[in-house]
Amino acid sequence: MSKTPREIVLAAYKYLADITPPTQKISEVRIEEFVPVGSGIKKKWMVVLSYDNIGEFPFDKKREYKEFEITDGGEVVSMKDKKSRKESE
Amino acid sequence: MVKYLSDINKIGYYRFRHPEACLILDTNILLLFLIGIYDKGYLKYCPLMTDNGKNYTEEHFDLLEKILKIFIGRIVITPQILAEVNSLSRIRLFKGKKLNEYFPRIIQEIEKWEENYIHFRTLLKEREQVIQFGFTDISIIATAKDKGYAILTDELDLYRNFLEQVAIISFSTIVAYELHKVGM
Repeated sequence: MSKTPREIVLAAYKYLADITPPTQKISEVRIEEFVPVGSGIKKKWMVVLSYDNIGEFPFDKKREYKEFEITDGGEVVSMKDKKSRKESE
Repeated sequence: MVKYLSDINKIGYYRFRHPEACLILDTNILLLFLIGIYDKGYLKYCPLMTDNGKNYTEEHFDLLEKILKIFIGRIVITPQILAEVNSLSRIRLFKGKKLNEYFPRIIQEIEKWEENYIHFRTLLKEREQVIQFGFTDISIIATAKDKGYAILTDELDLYRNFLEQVAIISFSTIVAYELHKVGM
């Protein structure tokens, strides 16, 4: 059964929260992209979330971008770093 | 100051606080608008709107129009953007009669806007950035920094790299919030 856009985004956020080790803190989460991919039973969603990844010290802060592929039913299929063009080279 | 212009209300507030600010349109956004004003129904079939994975349709065009209305009379492009729009339109859009109707229509709109020219030697002062992003993107950033203008783009790379330096609006974020009603 299709999930609502909010449920899709929450699935991504929950997945991110679940896999983040307790020593790391994430804050200032933002939705950067939310794009339908495919249609019908093959419909999926591409969600990009960004957040501040705070290390051991508050000044040790880095903005990270993760791309999620999520089925229309709300199952997270994959998550990967959304690299910038420079990082990809 | 509103740091992240992530919905229409924040953009409106930004405009209210910065009455002199203009909006620079990135190439994809400009194409969405220009193709849309010519034929909204064509957007969902247009290769320029589907090949980039954005899959823009009429509702994206309507949303873009709302944003542009906030900056009415204050839209800015650069020669590099115009050159890209011209080449992409001629190569990837209509042929023959439709192309001959398309250009006069889009010229009517472009005539209302301003152009900001930055010499290529000035752009080359940011050689590394030009290599990474290209002349067009860096012409946009240079204009925004020089004039204090805002940028509307759908390029995540451009957005994330310059977010802390200029007022930059991610169209993708606005789409998520305004069309899909999702925000954090």
